[in-house]
Amino acid sequence: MTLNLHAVLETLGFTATFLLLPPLIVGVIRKTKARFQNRIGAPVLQPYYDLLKLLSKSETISKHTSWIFRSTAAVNLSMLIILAFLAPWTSFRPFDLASDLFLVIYLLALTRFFTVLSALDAGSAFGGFGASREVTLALLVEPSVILCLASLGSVSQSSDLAFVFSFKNMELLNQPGLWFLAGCGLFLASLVELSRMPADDPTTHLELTMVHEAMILENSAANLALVEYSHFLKILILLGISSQCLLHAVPYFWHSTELIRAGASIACILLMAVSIAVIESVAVKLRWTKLPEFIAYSVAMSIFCVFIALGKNLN
Amino acid sequence: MFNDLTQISAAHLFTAASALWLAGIGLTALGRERVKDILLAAVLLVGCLMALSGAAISWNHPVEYNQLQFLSFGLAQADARVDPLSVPFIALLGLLGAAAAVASPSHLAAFKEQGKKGHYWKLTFIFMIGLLQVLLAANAVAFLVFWEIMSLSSAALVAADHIRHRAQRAAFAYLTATRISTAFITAAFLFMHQNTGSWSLAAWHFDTPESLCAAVLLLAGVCTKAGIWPMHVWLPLAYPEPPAPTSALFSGLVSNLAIYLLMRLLLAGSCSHMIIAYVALALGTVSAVWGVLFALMERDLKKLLAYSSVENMGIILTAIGVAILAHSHGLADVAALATAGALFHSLNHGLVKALLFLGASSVERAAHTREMSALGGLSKNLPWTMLCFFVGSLSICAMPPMNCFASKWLLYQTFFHLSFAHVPIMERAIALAMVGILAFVGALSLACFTKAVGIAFLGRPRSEAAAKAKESPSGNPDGLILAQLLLTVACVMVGTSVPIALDGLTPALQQLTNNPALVGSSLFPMPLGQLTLVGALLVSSIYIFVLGGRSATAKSYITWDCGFGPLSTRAEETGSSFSHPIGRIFSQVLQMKVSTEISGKDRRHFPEIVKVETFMTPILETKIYQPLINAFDWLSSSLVRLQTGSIHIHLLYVFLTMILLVFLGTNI
Repeated sequence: MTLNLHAVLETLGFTATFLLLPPLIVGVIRKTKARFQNRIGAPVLQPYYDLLKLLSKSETISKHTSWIFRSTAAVNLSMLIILAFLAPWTSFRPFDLASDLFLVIYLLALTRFFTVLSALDAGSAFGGFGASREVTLALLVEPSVILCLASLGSVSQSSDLAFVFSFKNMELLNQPGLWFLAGCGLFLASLVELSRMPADDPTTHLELTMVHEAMILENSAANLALVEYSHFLKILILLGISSQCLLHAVPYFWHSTELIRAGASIACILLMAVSIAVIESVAVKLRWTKLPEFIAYSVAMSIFCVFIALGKNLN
Repeated sequence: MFNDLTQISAAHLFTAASALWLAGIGLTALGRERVKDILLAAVLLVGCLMALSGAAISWNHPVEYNQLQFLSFGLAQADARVDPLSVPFIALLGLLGAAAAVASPSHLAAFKEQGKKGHYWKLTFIFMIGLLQVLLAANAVAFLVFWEIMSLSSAALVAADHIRHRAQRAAFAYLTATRISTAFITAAFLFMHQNTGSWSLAAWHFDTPESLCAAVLLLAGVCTKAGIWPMHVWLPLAYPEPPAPTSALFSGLVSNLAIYLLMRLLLAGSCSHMIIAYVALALGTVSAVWGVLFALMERDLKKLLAYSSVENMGIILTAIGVAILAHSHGLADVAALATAGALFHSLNHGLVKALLFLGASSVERAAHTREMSALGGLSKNLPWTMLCFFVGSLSICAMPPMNCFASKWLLYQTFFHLSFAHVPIMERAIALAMVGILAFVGALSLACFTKAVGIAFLGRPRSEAAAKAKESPSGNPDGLILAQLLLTVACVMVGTSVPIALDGLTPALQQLTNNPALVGSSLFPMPLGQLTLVGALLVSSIYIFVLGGRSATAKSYITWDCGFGPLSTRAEETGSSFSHPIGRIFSQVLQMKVSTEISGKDRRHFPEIVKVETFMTPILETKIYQPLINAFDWLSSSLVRLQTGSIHIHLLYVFLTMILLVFLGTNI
């Protein structure tokens, strides 16, 4: 096996991007929100400083927890790192790994399994509430995510996301409607999955009303840093997938070079982060009982994707 | 030469296993000491190992024999054969039987005072013989005889704890279900015999128009036995009741054997009735959603597992439906995926469900309750049970890299491939919808099993009994724990080496799809084993390098209580509050009602009484089955009037019957 310098550099660049980008996205969201509220806000790089600070603090663990509590942080981060290599969050991929649609979804579900258990582990009411809400939201969102991706896969007749999102699949060229609907459906679903507004307000101080923050209330120091970082990485991956859908909707990118696409992927993810900030600034958190109606938009888009996919394969 | 040798030795092994178990029944008469339990467990274990080795020998070499020909059942002899389809199920039987054997002595030691050990062993041996011979039966008559032996002995095992009202009710419901199921299956068999003139199961083909009626009857019988909606109502009653080791066999094999029968007759018998495919798809879908929804709302740990079986049986039935559909459309790849999915998932589900039932039994033994609202915090006192139950839950939620993930993946791929196959657009729409429904059911089962693990094992103990629970009477892992570990290891091994497992199923798949070119491992191209390795390395390195070094300095403190002082365990989530939001969304199906009562002088600020009650009425049981049962009761109490007790009236009956017979005799 010859060591290809170019490939090594590509891999290093890719790894560095997905490891360093996530806190920046959150920094951008926070900065934009601050500007909307007429504040200067913390620096864009603040999430990095926060993570570093957390890593150097000493940890406090509830005495009621079991081994689940601390292993969750390690498991979730590892699964998300694997997902960063598997899921098509950017158009640029250093290796040709088969990334099966159902494997990607179930790896995400695995992180949820651990998160929910670690929330229940300390036996606090907050964790329990958060966990209960998380599984409820997941249940509503999951069909929409899988149907968006499955209808894309159905048109291209492959469940390999690397192939579906490769700009090479001629079945999917000139399908801007399908791509756009899938992108929007996935974006709305991501808002819910990532515990952003209008499903959950990540900046309130009342954990009793929250989803993600309520679940990680007992985590501290390095454990919290890992959990937070995993969440940031999840933001990158989920926003990345929906931004890839939107990029595929633009015919220009089908004919451009790899470098432009890679740049556009990053730019689109950051743009989505800004749009999240805008949504969080102008919209309010929905009442818990109203959330199914919001998720219905995402489900409706996924059902339209299914219709397009069924129609496309007619001839 | 080798083939002859295989034939003889495999046949001998199976017969010897049955004979050994038969001898075990005799051994129960020996004494009443603990030695006897261990001896009988050894007999059971050796029989299971013989069955396993028999399965291993005949894996690739179908065997036909009739060593039991002295058992003539009038219409046909007790012919036996071992073909590729029965081998995986025999292997599952051997494995679960071994787990049950390991678990038995410690289970019996815990329930010494009941004094029903003798019955336990006798019934278990009969049950095992029934299970093995059902799988070996080559003709319908032998099948039915052993099917009945299996059903009746398992019904007696369900009634093992018959002093309790709950067990009586369960045994009665189960017995009713098995009667209905056997009636349907017998009718189907008679129809097929009429059509083909043969009792041999292998000679029956369901591709003629006349076979439709038999296929419908068969489906009805199998659905009743497998616990498919709407015939599933017996399942949550009966599954929790048998003794711990039996519950593993019961949950892992009884429903699976019904599925086995369906596969043997409809898939291997190349069924081509579209209506059967659609009905199977529809019933399977409804049971999947219904089962998991009720599992989620359940408060009893074992009933939760039982409802989850309804879900999984439903999923398997949909796969069988698609296999029939694909077969009649001539889609070889979809048929292969569907068949592999159905077969692999039924084996995996059997394995995992047995593991989970053993775990739940271990919890019940330790905490003396199955109510999740009285459990909690068991991870400290029951570390091994917790580990095994956790792995089992991961697996049944189809989390990678566990075994059920592979089979669930095959099912997803089945529907996904059907969605762009050359079939009518309605079927493609159904296929894509099924992908969504599977995802929905998957998310619900994740909610259900995070609830089972999180509420029962994590958090703080919700009752005194849970706080004082001990893993085993002696404190050391005993047979019940070892049995769980055995099944856990099996789950992980299958999950991380799926291509090998699927290659093992290749002969069975070839038989089921009539496609000799099919290779099992080619259906699962994902490098799951490698990914597991990478994942495990990542997890351990992150744990060691980021968290491990800080473990020593980490401070152990109370759970955050907002500064209000010690938290009451009543502030924790309970099972019902965890699933409440989902229950609200589906309140129409679940018939869930919440009533809130807040009263007192200053009701708004200082209420004296705050009372919230949740009611759930099982809609199927109250709206459909209760009226049916009432009608039956009314009918039978009306018929009682015939029996007056007066000899004159009875003589009149005899006379009238005679006249009727004479009339019939002269006119026909």
